[in-house]
Amino acid sequence: MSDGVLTSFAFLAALAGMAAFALANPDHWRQLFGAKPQGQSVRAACRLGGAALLGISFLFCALADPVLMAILVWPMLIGLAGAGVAAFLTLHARGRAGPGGRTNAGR
Amino acid sequence: MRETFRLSMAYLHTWLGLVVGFVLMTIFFFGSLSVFDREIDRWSVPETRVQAAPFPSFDKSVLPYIASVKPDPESVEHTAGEVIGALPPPDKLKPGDVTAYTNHRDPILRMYVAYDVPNKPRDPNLDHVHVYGYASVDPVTGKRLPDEVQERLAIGTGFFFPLHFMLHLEWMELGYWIVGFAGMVMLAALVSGVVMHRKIFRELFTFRPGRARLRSTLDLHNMTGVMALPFLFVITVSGLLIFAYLYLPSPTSLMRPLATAQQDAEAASTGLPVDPSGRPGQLASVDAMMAAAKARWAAQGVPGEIGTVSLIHIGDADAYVSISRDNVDRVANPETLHFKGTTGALLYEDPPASGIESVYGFFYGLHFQFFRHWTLRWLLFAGGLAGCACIATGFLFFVAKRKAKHAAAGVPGARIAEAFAVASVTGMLVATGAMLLGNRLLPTDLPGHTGWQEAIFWLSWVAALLHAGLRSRFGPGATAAEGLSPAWREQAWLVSGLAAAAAIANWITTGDHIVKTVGDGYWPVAGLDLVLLATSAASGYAAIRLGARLRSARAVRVAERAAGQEPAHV
Amino acid sequence: MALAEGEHAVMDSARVRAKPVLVASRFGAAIVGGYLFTYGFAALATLAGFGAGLPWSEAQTLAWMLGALVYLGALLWGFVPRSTVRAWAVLAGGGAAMGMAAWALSRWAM
Repeated sequence: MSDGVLTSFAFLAALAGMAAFALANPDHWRQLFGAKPQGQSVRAACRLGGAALLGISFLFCALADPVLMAILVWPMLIGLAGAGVAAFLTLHARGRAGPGGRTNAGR
Repeated sequence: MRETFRLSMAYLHTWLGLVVGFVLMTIFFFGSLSVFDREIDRWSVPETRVQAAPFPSFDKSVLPYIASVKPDPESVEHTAGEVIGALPPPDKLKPGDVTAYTNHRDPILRMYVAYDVPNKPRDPNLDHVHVYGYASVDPVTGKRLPDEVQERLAIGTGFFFPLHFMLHLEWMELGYWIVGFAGMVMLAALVSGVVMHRKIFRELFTFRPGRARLRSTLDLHNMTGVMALPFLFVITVSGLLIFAYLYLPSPTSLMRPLATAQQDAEAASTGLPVDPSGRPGQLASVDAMMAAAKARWAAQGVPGEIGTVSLIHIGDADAYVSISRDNVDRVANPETLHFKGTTGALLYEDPPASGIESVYGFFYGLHFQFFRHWTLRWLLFAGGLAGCACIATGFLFFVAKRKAKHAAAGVPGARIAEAFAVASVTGMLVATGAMLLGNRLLPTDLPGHTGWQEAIFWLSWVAALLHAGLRSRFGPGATAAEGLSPAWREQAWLVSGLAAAAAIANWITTGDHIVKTVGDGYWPVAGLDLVLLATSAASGYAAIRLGARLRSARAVRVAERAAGQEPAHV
Repeated sequence: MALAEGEHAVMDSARVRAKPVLVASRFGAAIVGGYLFTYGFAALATLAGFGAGLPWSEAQTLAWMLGALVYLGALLWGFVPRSTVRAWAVLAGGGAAMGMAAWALSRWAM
């Protein structure tokens, strides 16, 4: 697999991992899945899954580049992924509120 | 105690951030541009828009030109201030060393000659100082570029890059110290920001643009700060460590006898002659040494290209040649070999870096970014811009929080802060766009071509600050107690126009338009033009949205006044 | 309250203004005192590293790397003690002490 493909997989894994962390938050869970917040065990599973996915992301980074460079690429991908998840949640909330409406995304 | 510690952190975050934030914006914005400084050089000096090539023959393309290089007048002036007594006249200075480098981002081979200066330096921490002269060689033809092209301002490496680490403030190295202090405040702001942020994990992904502007500004400030936190902390520390020798000279200045003895011993242990013998010597083929270096690296399992070649003690019997590998696949610590000048025999190989040297080298390398990894380069650029966004939203939050209260109390604080905020966000973009446009439009044979471009930059920035200051007081909508100063929208339009004009001017003056450069795959120029066009679009969009918001806010105020109500706080 | 009588953790206040001299002293203690502390630390830490067997240049590099964190800590801590005088004493005083110790010990070691 080429380095570009590996890095793309690393980014996708980071995206999924950050999404999992976001879902561990009751507000975001409620925003996407409806009124009832998730239970404690689901929240823990989300965090564990998120951490695992971020770990997988690092493995892909280390396959694409020498380890010391991977150490630089990985946190940047995570930051970008986090921004992406936040952007998705924000736009999703605005879409639901309708044009010009006040949203209750977050609190 | 916890609560009061948090309050102390909030206090220092707010006030140190406010005072130093403008400097930090400058550092982070021009630091971000510096990630692509060599690409900006290609854009600003079109004669250097050549493809990168391997290191040419040193014997044929560097050695013959040493004699024709002259001491750079600025370097002479700078060094004259560093020594006791008068310098010898420039044409009497003897070339001591020469260094040449080229790599995937520096297609034009740069050589710099260090001339020996017999005078004693004023600073007791320094052994001796040099005067420098420069030359540029086309690695494909092997010919020196005309002086006229060499003297052109390379806006990336020659202006934006030094602006970000010393603010072009040479006097008493004040610029370096201001940047150093700002860097430490940045670290303090990051730590205190985390301490202040009570719900940092709860609000990790939270951005509420539909809520009151105060809330959404703070959300964005927190988000950009937290998402880029590892990058912001590490890039700031690494920058500070690069100049640690300047900020903390105490190991030498407080323990001079021990320090100089140890430094001399360490230099002697390499076997490389620190001073020339004074006897003349004939130089062996440097090209043969370069081939030997590449063969040795290949044998060690790290095949690579030549990055830098230095000839120390030119013309002397004790001359030696240092050859470093081009570090495209690593963050730090390139292999370096040293050969005896007269025979070409290997004198010394730099040992593998120790643990401490590796860590320092890693910080150094992640900041200087010599590697070839375009994804990582763009990610670091994005991180720098996130830093700018964090600082800018910090200002905006400070202003928004206080604007109404200060206006009611007749205090100008928030308005002044807002004017500086405008100058450091849109104003900085105005200055950059104007300089790039000026670079394309000013005739290259204009005397003081470099000075004119720099003047355009500084004067545009000052004009933007004045405009922001005036618009906070005068003109329609200016003194609204809430809402944003109209200067934001006006300067956003100006940025949009200047950025587009610069890209178009590049097309008109060089024929290199987007379709051509993308088609040819000449990314240094294509990349900058694309960024300029994207900036123009984004800035224009921002101006449109600001205008729409202003109109709707005015409509609300008019309606409420008509209904006899108090205007609602936004 | 972590800050002394004349100062407030001002997030935004038009009610009581801290006396400018006290505010300046607080910032001075953190910024200047912190720098003096780090200046002394860098020298003493270099000597300590060298004494522990590191080559001089490596001991110095390590001292610089630690120094960045030391200044950060000093800058933040300078805002914590109730008394500004205490902040000055610890930071500037500590720095002077470390610097003098390095100066003296290095000459004794030679």
